[in-house]
Amino acid sequence: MAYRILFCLFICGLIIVDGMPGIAQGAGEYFEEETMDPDQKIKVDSMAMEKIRDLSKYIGIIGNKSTPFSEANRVVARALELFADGSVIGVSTLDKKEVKQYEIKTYFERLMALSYDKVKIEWFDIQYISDLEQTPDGKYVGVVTIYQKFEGSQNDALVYKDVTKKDITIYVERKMMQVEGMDIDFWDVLLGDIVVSETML
Amino acid sequence: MKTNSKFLVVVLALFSTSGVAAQGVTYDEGNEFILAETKQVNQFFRRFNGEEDYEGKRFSTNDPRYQQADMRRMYISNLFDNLDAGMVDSLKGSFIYTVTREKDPKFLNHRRNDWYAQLDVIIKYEKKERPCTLFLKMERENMGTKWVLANVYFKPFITLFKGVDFFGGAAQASVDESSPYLHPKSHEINFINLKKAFTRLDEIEKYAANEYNPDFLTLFIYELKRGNAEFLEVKNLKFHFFQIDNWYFEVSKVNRKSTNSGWLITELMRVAEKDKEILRKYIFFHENNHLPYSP
Repeated sequence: MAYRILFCLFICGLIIVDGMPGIAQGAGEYFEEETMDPDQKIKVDSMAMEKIRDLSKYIGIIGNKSTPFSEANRVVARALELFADGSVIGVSTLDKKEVKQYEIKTYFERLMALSYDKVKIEWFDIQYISDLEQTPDGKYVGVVTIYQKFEGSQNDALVYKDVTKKDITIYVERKMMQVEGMDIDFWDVLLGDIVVSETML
Repeated sequence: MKTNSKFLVVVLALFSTSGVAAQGVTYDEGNEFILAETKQVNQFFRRFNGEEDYEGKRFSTNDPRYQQADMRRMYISNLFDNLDAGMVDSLKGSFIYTVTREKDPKFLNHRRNDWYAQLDVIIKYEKKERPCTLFLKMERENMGTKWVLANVYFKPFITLFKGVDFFGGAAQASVDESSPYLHPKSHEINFINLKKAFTRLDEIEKYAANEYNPDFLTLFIYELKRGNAEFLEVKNLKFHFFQIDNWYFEVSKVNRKSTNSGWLITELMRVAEKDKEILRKYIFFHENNHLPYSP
């Protein structure tokens, strides 16, 4: 409200002249973009959700104390294969304003160190999948939002629980491979940066 | 049956204008809040335009519900932060009428460069953590799009350039008679007076040409490259929309246990097209629009 009043007061006392400070801008320029065929988009969405479910399954295994160290390491390696190089994960909580940012591998290593006796991850049956947008290098990018309830127990007692919203970047790229001398093109889906935020729910 | 009951909950939620949060919601009961929440900015666009169903599934362009006016009215009424008493119902009603009228409906398009992301960030500058504001806009490259830096607001830069009127107002129009200058015969004396000019650092901008404008984005990049500034983190994000003729609105994230949550309109103003440039300058350069700075 104060913002509106301040601007109104401001605008009343203003004389416009040319030569304002340097701002890169344009007057509502519209960009045409190549969009993905809707049927193809449904297939890509499904592939992305499959990868996200795999990730969720891996997190459950990595965070569980009963998982042998060697098995946890193997699962971390599998989980890392889901991601594009250099992906990071940002974690925010309701009580702290700071957003902690980790490389994906570091995040998994921290998860291994948590060592709950039991980890329970439940999905809300609602997710949101954005449109896919083309990037300058010809890939497509989208964001999938999911909600998860996490419960960590020790000695049969619940020691930590939260409900988080996860905004997960997905990269989609058309690739070509040769099968028995024939060129086959396919869509490859990789996960990218993730923002995990605690919700009020 | 499950979908029908969800549908009913969300329709009721979307028609509710109170936005009052429910108490004691369990995990299972929380689903209706998630369903109603505007979860991504992408969903804000689609709901505003009436391009998806209540569960977030996109309509095909052949679907009779695609961009259907009644549905848009319902969606948009719940895209306002309903707990913000500053946005009166008559103003919101007028906006909804403007964008949904059958004859000339208005839609949002994210592939345009007339909406801006404002990021309140923290940078380390001169060994201290300091607030800074970045403005980004959409730009096309090849067949795709990308966000690009459009402007930076950083108080130390503003302080250094205090002699400049960023809004091009009356102060600049009436340059006072005592302003310093290099007299028109300076060339005859080998510009020997330049040394004096360059000691008057408070007023040094006054020696610059009329078309000179300080470019804070360049300064910011320069300081990053010199290692004097280091980016730390994003504190807050909001968006400024100039796409609807004669209107401006701001979209911010509202995190609360309510059916009126997520990315919502948190400011709405009627602004004549001719005044939008001034508003843009106000948002970019006025200190009221930025995190408080303590040296």
